[in-house]
Formats: sequence, structure tokens, C-alpha cells
Amino acid sequence: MKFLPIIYLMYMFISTYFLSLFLILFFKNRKTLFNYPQPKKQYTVSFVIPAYNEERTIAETIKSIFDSDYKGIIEVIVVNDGSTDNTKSIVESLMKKYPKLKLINNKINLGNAAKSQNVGLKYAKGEIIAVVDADSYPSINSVSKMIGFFNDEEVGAVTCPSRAKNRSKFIEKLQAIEYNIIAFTRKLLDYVDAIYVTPGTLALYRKKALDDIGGFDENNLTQDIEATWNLTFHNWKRRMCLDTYVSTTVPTKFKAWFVQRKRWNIGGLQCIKKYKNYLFQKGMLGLFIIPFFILSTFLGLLGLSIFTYLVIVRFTKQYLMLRFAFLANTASVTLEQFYFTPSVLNYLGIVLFIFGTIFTLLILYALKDIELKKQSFFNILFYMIIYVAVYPFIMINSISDLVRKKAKWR
Amino acid sequence: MWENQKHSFWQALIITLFVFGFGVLIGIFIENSRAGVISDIYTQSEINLLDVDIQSQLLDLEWTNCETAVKQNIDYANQIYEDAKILENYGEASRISDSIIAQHKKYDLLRTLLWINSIKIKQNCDKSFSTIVYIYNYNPSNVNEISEQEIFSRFLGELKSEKGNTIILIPIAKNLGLNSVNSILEKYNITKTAVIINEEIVIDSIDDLEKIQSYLN
Repeated sequence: MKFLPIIYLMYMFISTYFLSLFLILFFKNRKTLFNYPQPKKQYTVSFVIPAYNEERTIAETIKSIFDSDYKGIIEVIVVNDGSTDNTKSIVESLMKKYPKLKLINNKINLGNAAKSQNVGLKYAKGEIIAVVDADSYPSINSVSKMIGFFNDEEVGAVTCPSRAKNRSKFIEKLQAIEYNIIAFTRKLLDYVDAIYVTPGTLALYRKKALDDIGGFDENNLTQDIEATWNLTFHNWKRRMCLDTYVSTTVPTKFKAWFVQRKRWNIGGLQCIKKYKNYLFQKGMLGLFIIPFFILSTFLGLLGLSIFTYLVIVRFTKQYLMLRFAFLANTASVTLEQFYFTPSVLNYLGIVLFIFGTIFTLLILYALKDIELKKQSFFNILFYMIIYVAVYPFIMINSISDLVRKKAKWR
Repeated sequence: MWENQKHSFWQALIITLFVFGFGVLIGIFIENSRAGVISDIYTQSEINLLDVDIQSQLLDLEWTNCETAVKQNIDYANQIYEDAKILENYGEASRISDSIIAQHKKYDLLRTLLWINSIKIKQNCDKSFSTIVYIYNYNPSNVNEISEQEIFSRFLGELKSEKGNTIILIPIAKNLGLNSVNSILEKYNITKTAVIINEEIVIDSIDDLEKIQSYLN
């Protein structure tokens, strides 16, 4: 057998494996997906919001936290990281309305969210630290539904689905689909203790667990991924509550989306680099999370490399054929060129794609996101074929930035 | 809960092995069934070749005439040419098993026999048709060679359409390890893609393809 079919079959094997794993987890746990434990006591919660030039969103974020139906919120700490816009004055004006709202102004711009979060952590008094991005809006029942997971003393962090708040533009709709798929698969991974990220949109951490890992890694561009890996390393469980959500403002333009994804990728690569020595060791971190991350990162790159190779070969062939056709004075294009006898690999690819589509539809319909259920099939197909295909290009750009030490928060 | 859930990893592996194994088995089945289709066509072609060969021997005995022998030979050559197209499509789509290659070898031998038969008929009758033997690489190693062969093939296909029954086009793969084919290549000193016209002229350059017309009977 030739080399490329072997690579193609390897791809299919890995894809089929993860698809099977998710389907098994889904069918085993479909009745408990939306379950959450009632809290045994009223945990005290401190919110920490890192903010840099968030004048457009910070007020709504703060309002959504204070609208929460959970009564144990003792403080909301906004860490203003030297904003040059009206973030500071907006928060100050809201402090009159919300006495539990506190503002910390960094003397200089620290440059990333992790540093501001760590500043907030020093001041936070709650047993539970809720980290929220300044452009995210926890739903009214998010904390009350998530907090019960801390009844288990071994739980260090709890997360919930992030939903796209803005969904009018096409790129926003695609992200809405993506966020739901991520949330659903994360919940499935919860059943095997393999949650690999508790996103900064809204994550609750046990203060003791955060102290245990030394707070957020200030050198990592995705401190939320790193913190989750670090918690896993320190044997803290991570849990996911699917029955609630946090809304977040998603990028509205391709460039902003690209930059955000690049940051996520670089952060992920930094995590792989930091924890590479624990591959196949240290429980779920080394046995599943790190290999899963490495596979999803580098298989995409390998796929892109093969695709690029095939495109180059195709174009070279077309060019040479045109040249030779001219020399031989024969037709440069014939109908026979477009005849196609499908190979077995084509059939297998189609079957896998159909299963993938069914799984995606299953997710979208299983989730309680009414608006998302109205997504057109075209959007879903576009997401599955085009949107996902852009990932490896971003990864190449990310690796390039990382190698050239150009990785930065903003 | 975890104790129950952790089985999911190996359960997924078993399902994957089953689904994947089933897929590969279906793949082998499809490719073998294609080889089977070729095999069926081959059986018919083999019978037809025997028929043509007998016609040729009857011609030696003067029990039949040139017109009938030539016609049968050309009809058979046309059929073999069409079979070659199917064989090529199936060969290109073959990914898992090597069953098509074996069929290809058999066909190459059949085409070689057809060529020899055509030579005999031309010797016994007037040279009312031309033979064009297209020698190509079954596994071209680079894009240049692939493109070159495609143009050779296209040019010869167009020529066949234009000239109809006045030419017999016989494509033979040069690197399938067949001794008889190797002997022919040695006789004509052919190392790359080439065309042998009426057993006399060898053209192995795209630049010279247009000259073929001038060498036809």
C-alpha cells in the first residue's frame, strides 16, 4: 500500500476512535447530562474580573453577576489593568449601586489576564473564586447550579458552557455552533475525568486548589487551559455543569477571530511544552489530555501538509500537461479528465463524514439552546467543512509566532 | 462512576476496530469485485483472442480471407482498447489490495499477443492498417512523467478517434515484470515512455508525437 493511503487510514482510525468514545459516553450518560448536585452549604464566592479597555461590556458583565440568584456572592473584584478608556469610571460609578463591587487599579498595565487574575486572587476572600472575562455574562442561575459540584472535596474547578451572545453575523453563527460542540464534548469528557479547560468566560475554582497550583501561569497565553492541566496534575477534579451557561461576546470579524484562535493555539502549545514530560504518565493528564491535545494539534498540521502537497502536485501536473499538450498540439482539456472512479478511501471518508454530521446534529438538538436549533443545515455543513479546515492554517501561524517569540496576549 | 466510565476507552477501541475493520473488509471486497469484473471481461477477451488467433492460422491455410482476418483483428483491438480504459480507472482507484495489478499483467500479455497477431496479419495481407504500441510506465515516479504519459495517452486517443479502424492502438505497461514485454523493450532499446509505430519507428518525445501521422500506413 502507498504512503498516503496509510496516513489517510490512520486519520480515519483516530477520528473514528474519538467519535466512538464520545458516542459511548453520550449513550451511557444521556440521562444525567444536565444533572447537577444541590449545594450542601452556602459557599462564599468571590468574583474576579480582569479588565483592560472594556468600557463597552464591563457594566453588563457586572450587572449579570449581581443579577445572580446565588446568595453567597460576597464580592466582585474588578482588576483594571491600566485601561485607557472609561472602564475605571464605569466601574466606579457602579460601586455606588453595588456595595460588594470592588475595584483594583494596577499601577501599570501588566499585559495579560493571568497577572490581573492573580492580583485579584490576593484580595479575594471567598472559598470559591469565580473568574469571569469582562465581556462575558453569567446567566442568572449559573453559580447556583455550578456550586453544588464543590460538595466533593476533591473538585478543584467547575465550568459551564459558553454561548455566543452575538449571533447575527455569519461568523458569529459559526462560533455559536462551535461553542456548543465544545461544551457538549467537554461534558462528555467530564465523565472520564478528562476536562482539559475551564474557560475564562466563567470558571469557579476552589480557593484552596488555586493556592495549591500557585495561581494562574502568567507566562501562558491561555492561563485557563494551563490552570486546568495544573489542577489535573495536582489531582484536583474538574467538573462541568451543562444545565446552565455563560454568554460571551465572540469576535465579529475574521481577523479578530483569527487572532483569538491564534492565542488559544499558542497557549495550548505552551501547555504541551510545559507538560510534555508527563506524556503517558500522571493519570488522565498524561494518558489522555496531553495525547489528545498533541493529536488534535499535529494531525491537523499533517493533514494540511498533505493537502498542500496534493494541491502543489495537482497544479504542477496541470501546468506540465498544458505545456506538453501545446508541444504535442493536442487538446489541453478533455472530458475524460473529469471522470472519477471513487476509491474505497472515498467511501470511508463519506461514511465518517456522515457519522460526524449526525453527531454534530445530535449535539445541537440535545443541548437546550433553542436559537441554535434554528441553525440552517448550510451553516452546520459550512462549519464542518470550511470553518474547521481553517484551524490548521491558524496553527501554522501560531507555531511561527511562538518560534519567533512574537506570541503576545493582544 | 469513574469505574463504570473508564471502560469507555477500550469499548471505543473495540467499536473502532470493528467499524474500521469492517470498512477495510468492504474495501477489499469492492476492489476484489472490480478485479472480478475485469477478470470476467478478460475471460471474454481471452476467448476472442483465441478466435482471432485461429483466424490468423486459417489465413495461413488460406481457409479464410484477409478482409475477414483484418476486420476481426481490428474489432478485437478496439474492444481491448476499451477494456484498457476500464482497467486504468479501476487501477487508479485501487488503494487497499493489489488484485488489479495481477489483472493488468494478464491484459498486458493479451495485448502483446494481439500485437504479434497483428504483425502476422500484416505480413500475410496488405498493410491496410497500422499498429501503434504505446509503452508506458505503470508506476510513474514523478509529476513530469505522469503529465507526459497523460499527454501521450491523450494524443494517441485522439489519433485513434480520428483514424478509426485504420490503426490498432495497443497500450502495454513496461514495468510489470513480464519477460516477453521486457524482451520487446530490449529489442527496441526502450527505457522510457515511447510509441512503436508499425514495428519500425520509435518515438519517445512529446515534441515528435505529431510525426506519427507521417509513419502510418
